Amino acid sequence: MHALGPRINVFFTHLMTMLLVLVAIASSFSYYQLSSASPTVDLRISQLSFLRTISRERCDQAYLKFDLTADFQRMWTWNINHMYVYLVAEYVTDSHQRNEVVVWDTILSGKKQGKIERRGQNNKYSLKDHGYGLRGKEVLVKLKYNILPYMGPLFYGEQGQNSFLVPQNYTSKAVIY
Amino acid sequence: MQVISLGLLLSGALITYKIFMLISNSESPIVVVLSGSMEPGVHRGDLLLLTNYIERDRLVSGDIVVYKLPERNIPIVHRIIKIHEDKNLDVDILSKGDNNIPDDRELYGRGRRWLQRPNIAGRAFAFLPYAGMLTIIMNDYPQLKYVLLGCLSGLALIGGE
Repeated sequence: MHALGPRINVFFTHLMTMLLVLVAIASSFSYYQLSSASPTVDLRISQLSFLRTISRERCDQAYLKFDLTADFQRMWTWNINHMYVYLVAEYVTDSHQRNEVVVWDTILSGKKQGKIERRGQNNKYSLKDHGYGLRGKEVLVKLKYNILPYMGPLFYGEQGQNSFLVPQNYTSKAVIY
Repeated sequence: MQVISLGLLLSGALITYKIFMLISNSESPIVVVLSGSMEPGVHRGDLLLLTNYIERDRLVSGDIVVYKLPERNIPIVHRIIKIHEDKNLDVDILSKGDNNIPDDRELYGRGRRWLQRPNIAGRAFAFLPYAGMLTIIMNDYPQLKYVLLGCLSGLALIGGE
């Protein structure tokens, strides 16, 4: 009845239950904290370096340059382990009603890295369409972030955007915005 | 008597898992990350909870998803970096691991350029660190799995009083 085995069993079951309850409480509190915080972001697409077709992949490709100032330090809470920060180009073409292409990303590991200051930054991944649909389209670029917590729900947010018009014709010359 | 209680224990675990499957609408509602391709945010041994509501959960870029390809058995946990949705709401998706330099086209294999919605097993909504470490250890040392299973069933059979 008072054997060691059942006692250990009860102890660990209790421990695990308590741990899970604590994690649930703590992470829902931190989710609430995050949903009421936002970073300060200033984003501007400064240049489209060229617009061409890639015949091998059968699609349009554009290279972009942008200026970005962002401060995530003020919203950094105790439950943020890493933050995935990314720029998404969103546009509509004749064949697709929703296109989202990540053109740049970075990972912030810790509050110290929470300030981003880039001038004339090149895209990390070029803006490639699904087909030949980029010419003359208006593209909206948004800064989004995904918070990877120490535990609990993943948090997604966005702040700051800038749009630009893709030229009507293919060009090897840069277009300055 | 002991055999019955062991059976109850196992079926209880199975029922819990099946209920999770029902709630999350995903065939694998809990996934242990097996590779380091999502470092530094997600490590080997971390546990991800998934949902897979095809109608309600519209996939967007930046989502961490788990996908399975018919040619490969192992589910892969990566992030969506491109998504193109046509007028019938069919999507073409390209994924990439945060820690990988190229995107996943190489992984998809010959002839496949995009992932489609049926390839996606679920979208991560929560994260538990290290909770899947046991799976990792058992994956690395398969013998341990049998030793552990044997010990557990032995305990359930002998103990109980």
